[in-house]
Amino acid sequence: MSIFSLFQFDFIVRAFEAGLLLGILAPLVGMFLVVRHYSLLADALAHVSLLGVALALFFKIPIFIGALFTSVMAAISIERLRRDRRVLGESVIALFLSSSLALSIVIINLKDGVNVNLISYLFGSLTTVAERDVFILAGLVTVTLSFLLFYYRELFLLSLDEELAKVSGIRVERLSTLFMVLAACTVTASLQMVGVLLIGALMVVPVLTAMQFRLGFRTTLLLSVVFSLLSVVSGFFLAYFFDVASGGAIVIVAVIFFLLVNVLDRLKTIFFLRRA
Amino acid sequence: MSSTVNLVIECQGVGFHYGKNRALQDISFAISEGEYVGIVGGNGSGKTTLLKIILGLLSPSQGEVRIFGQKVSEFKDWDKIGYVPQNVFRGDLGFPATVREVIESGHLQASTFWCRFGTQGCVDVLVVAKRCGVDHLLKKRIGELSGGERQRVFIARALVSAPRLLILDEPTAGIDSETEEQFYAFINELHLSGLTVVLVSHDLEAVRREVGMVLCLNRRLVCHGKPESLEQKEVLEALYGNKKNILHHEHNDHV
Repeated sequence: MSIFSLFQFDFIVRAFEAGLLLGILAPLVGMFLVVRHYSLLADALAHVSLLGVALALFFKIPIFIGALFTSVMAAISIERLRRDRRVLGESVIALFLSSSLALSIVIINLKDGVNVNLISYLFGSLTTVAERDVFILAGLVTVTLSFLLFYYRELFLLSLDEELAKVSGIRVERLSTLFMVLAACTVTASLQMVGVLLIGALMVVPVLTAMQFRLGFRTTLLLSVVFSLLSVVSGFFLAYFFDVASGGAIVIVAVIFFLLVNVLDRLKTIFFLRRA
Repeated sequence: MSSTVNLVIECQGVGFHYGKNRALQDISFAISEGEYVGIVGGNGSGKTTLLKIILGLLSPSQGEVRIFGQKVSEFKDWDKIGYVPQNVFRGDLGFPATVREVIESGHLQASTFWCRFGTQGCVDVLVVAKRCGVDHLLKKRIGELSGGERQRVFIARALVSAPRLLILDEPTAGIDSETEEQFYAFINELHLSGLTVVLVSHDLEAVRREVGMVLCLNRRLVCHGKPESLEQKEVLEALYGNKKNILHHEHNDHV
């Protein structure tokens, strides 16, 4: 079967569209998480979303609502705890990650049948994407792009130096919380497609790959979207032809890009050192 | 306190406590437009705390601060203030930002929507970069620069919004003496062009040599006057106890 004949199936078209939207969205949010030393936040929020899924299955409410509510609440709480400095640095993230996972396990034990549905969220699948999911993702991409266009300089300065941002008149707490809520929405919307265990990697790895080129902020941001899209498209077809989980295939391709750029960068350094 | 137009900073009875520890007590002074003022004091004397209160980063426990005649808590026109913090760019040296992007970030009130994301033409970054001697570094990454170059880039960042007040917190910490000399010559040039400059430093020699007025701080205001007051034994004792000796070098009269 040729690559193009794949697109005669509606579910493949939907999966491809969702993958492309996710490929744009994840690094746009991930870039600001990486430069603010918040790389593990996506993982923590994904685990909190899993708790939301478990609670939704337990109380029989819509899964998306449950996951979105818990992850947004967690994002706001993490930001507040970090600002209060009552819990040290990134340990706030570890606290939320482990406690939400523990609660999810307890809920699984309390109710039979929940575990089967819950486990499907651990690894995710692009092929189970519904039309509604594509619309939610498209809306989120639009909101994120608009947010970045309006607040790009503020977010850049916030990432560079929070004190300078405050003295420049930026309402740092409000902007930071808004961004955290956006990150929570991104994680929740991506959960079903990439899975709890891999969403963090999709948000972070393409950014790390782009950063190895040692370019400016804007160029790195655009380059991370390019690497993310390349990873999603390549991973998507690999997953189909080798019949493996799409989330895993996408992240493996993203990691291969990272390694490739890293090796080429080292070879370039050795080459220039020898010539010098 | 009456707000006169040419008063840039007014502090009236400012006090601050960190928990039970008193960091500042009853600080009152005013800085007028065009002045070059040095704030000096030893470690823990409250210099940085006072600066943070002036910049609205901390709220005073007592008293009031006004900037350009407005209460600091109500002040909105932050483009009027250029601030260069201590140890500029404390972040990761791998932070993906060029010098141009760092300077551009000083101008948040760009005139058009596209300027906020655009790369050229909105803010005259090049003019400011040339003035600060960093125009040849615009495409370099901030993490690749030396301490002195980074210092100039952050001053350019502070100047890009055409401020009326420039506040520098320990600006020469960690840079060599030659760069330090060039740096003070540059700040003096900015002051002569009409800019009000507030320099926070523990370097008495540099402050005495460079500024027009000094504020000596040791949790309270020890003195507010001409830099020559730093040569008085009683002022130094109030600042540092008996630990500071005054050394006069006859050839250049430095303290």
